Amino acid sequence: MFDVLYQHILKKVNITPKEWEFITQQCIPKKVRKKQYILQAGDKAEFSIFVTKGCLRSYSVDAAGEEHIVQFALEGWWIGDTSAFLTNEPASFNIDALEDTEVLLFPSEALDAIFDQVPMFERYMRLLLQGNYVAMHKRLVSAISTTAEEKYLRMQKQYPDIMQRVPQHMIASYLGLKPETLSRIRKKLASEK
Amino acid sequence: MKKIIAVIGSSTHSDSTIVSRMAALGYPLLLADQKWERVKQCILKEHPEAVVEVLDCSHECAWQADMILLYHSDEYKKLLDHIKNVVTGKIVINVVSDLQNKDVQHLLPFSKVVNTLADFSPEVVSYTISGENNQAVEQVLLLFDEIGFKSDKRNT
Repeated sequence: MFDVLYQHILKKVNITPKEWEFITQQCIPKKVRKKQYILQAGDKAEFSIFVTKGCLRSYSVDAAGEEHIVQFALEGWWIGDTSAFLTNEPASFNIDALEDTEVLLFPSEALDAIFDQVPMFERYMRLLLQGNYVAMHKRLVSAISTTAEEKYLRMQKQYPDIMQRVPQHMIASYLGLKPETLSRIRKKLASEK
Repeated sequence: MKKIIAVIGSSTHSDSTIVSRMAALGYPLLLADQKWERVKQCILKEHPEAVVEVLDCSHECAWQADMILLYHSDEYKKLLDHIKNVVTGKIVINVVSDLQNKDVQHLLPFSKVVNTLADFSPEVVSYTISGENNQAVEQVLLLFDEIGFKSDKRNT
């Protein structure tokens, strides 16, 4: 249950067994069934979420009822409505499970306690935020300056696991494309092989 | 979004007041003992829209839940040891168990144990509440207030 997080942390920083024990005492283990919500828009975003097994997605819903997927999170990924979590404003996103999923939930007071007791965890979080910033920036550039086909190919290259496990209409939503457009691109790429 | 409540330990019919009221208010319930099956049937008869499930595995129920209601058990130590690693950080409400709050807290050191003292039958109007974590006590007070029980005494 905790090992995925332990390995994830060790990839970036070193912590002592005692510090690791402290971290495991602060987070809330939770199992989420497929299609079950872990956060709904309008609610308080109480947690930063680490996925140890399964797959979550975060998305918003527009006035016409259309879903816009912002992020997928597989094993070893962090997810949450960061803006709402940091500002205490109601969540803008929904987060639900695309598969039966196991997570570790970190309330802000737990993160504060860990930052106090485990200084390297703060460095770990900083490294994650830097990586997240770079990824978001690249996604923004891609969204405004690349073709639909380039977006799809980039995603295929960058996130092959997600492409395997997530339905195509959700991939289309994540890329900001209509499902028909994505279907056309896939047919074209298949015929070119 | 309503918190998912796991009900751990077994039931006598008189225990069902809290559980029935929570289900009626839309709290999804995971009942971890087949003895709750009759209560589940009664709830669904009265509230067909209620989300109630008997899972027959305390560990699984506690893992999926946001909050735990602890009821009777003949083997508390074994039961709490079984759920210990999936209730870290969660509120565990010691409802009608025969254990003292400090004993439950000792067995679940990383959970927020809240003790409630009363026979929660429909006639009961007040109860006593205590716990080491003030925030958890406040949350349980709000929850119990929502289901129609007012606390007349608070011990911390």
